[in-house]
Amino acid sequence: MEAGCEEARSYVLLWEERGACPEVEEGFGAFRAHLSACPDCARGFSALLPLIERDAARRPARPADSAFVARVMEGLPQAADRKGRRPARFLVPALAAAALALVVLGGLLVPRGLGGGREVAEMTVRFVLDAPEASSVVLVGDFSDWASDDRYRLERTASGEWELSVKLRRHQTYAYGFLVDGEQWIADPRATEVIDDGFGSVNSLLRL
Amino acid sequence: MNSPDDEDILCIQRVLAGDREAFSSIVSRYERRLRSYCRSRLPEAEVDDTVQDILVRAFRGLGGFRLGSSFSPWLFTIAFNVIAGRKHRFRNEEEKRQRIAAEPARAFDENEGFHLLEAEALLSAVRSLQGMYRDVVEMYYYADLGVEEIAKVLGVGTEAVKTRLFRARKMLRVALEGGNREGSREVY
Repeated sequence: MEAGCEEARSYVLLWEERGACPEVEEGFGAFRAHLSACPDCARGFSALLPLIERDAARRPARPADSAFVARVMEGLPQAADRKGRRPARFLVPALAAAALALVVLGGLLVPRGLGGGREVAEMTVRFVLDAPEASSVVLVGDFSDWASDDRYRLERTASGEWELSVKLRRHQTYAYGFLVDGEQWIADPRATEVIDDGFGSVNSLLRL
Repeated sequence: MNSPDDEDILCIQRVLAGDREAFSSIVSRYERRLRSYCRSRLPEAEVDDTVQDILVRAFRGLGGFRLGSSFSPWLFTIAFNVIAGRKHRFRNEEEKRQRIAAEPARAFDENEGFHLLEAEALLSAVRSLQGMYRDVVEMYYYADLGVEEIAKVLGVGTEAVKTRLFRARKMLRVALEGGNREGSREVY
């Protein structure tokens, strides 16, 4: 392997280990020049260039697609929803988020079977959150009255995921989220639907 | 000079005060990042609609954005969940693969050169990563979110994000270097 090739590989390994750092920024020009001159290194590393450019602060800003911007603006409602604006700073953030979601979703919690004489069956739903660094995860939602209830505490699995199986009634829509380490509220990354919680975040929706 | 965060907040304040057109600055600023992020996770045919959907949802929910916080994590949490919803519309992973494979290959763009993040080999390698690594790579390298912003979206610590990025870089380097050059096989 020639000296230039060795340097190029060392540069990639430096990037791999440290990501964005001054050394990756400084070495980018020489690395990029070597790839232009060395087909073998280009074959090995060119596909990584878009990632390395980001960490070397060499990704150029590209102008927005003005036609697309115009199309989005045409499709917007006449006004943003302002009803969520309230002094949330006086509340625990997670509970503030939950409280608003409960109000918003109140109307959705009626079983569709009501009035039809149909029995509403339960089904088991498995909730999973990939959070290996968390110390605790609690499922919080309509079904727990938005309280951090030990009955809805997720168990850590060997793979670092947290999971909990809960029996819920069919034909209902549930809003929920996860309370991580007792203070951080997050929506379920795997949820198929979300609803704005009115406080700068979203809750997850589950329709059964 | 205002920071990007300050500019976001100023725009949002104007929108909430009734200046609907002020939202176009937000759209302009985030359209490329959202598009790049969506392309990493969805078939090309879904990208335009999805980006528009994310921006409309953000506009509708803007009243709920807490002005003291950063806008990017808020917007990309919406994006993360909207995309998750769209992905579930495919009946299964096989259908998704077939849809993506059936797309015509995009011609190399001389103007954008190496900036085409959706370059075939890289995108394929990113899509083959385990979920926890793929999420951070897409948010960091495609959506251009910072480590702290990703931590907020995923609800994990910043050290966890850094660790996942490091491991993901290694996996991608091994996969791409090994696949493109003889004699460069490694096991991670």
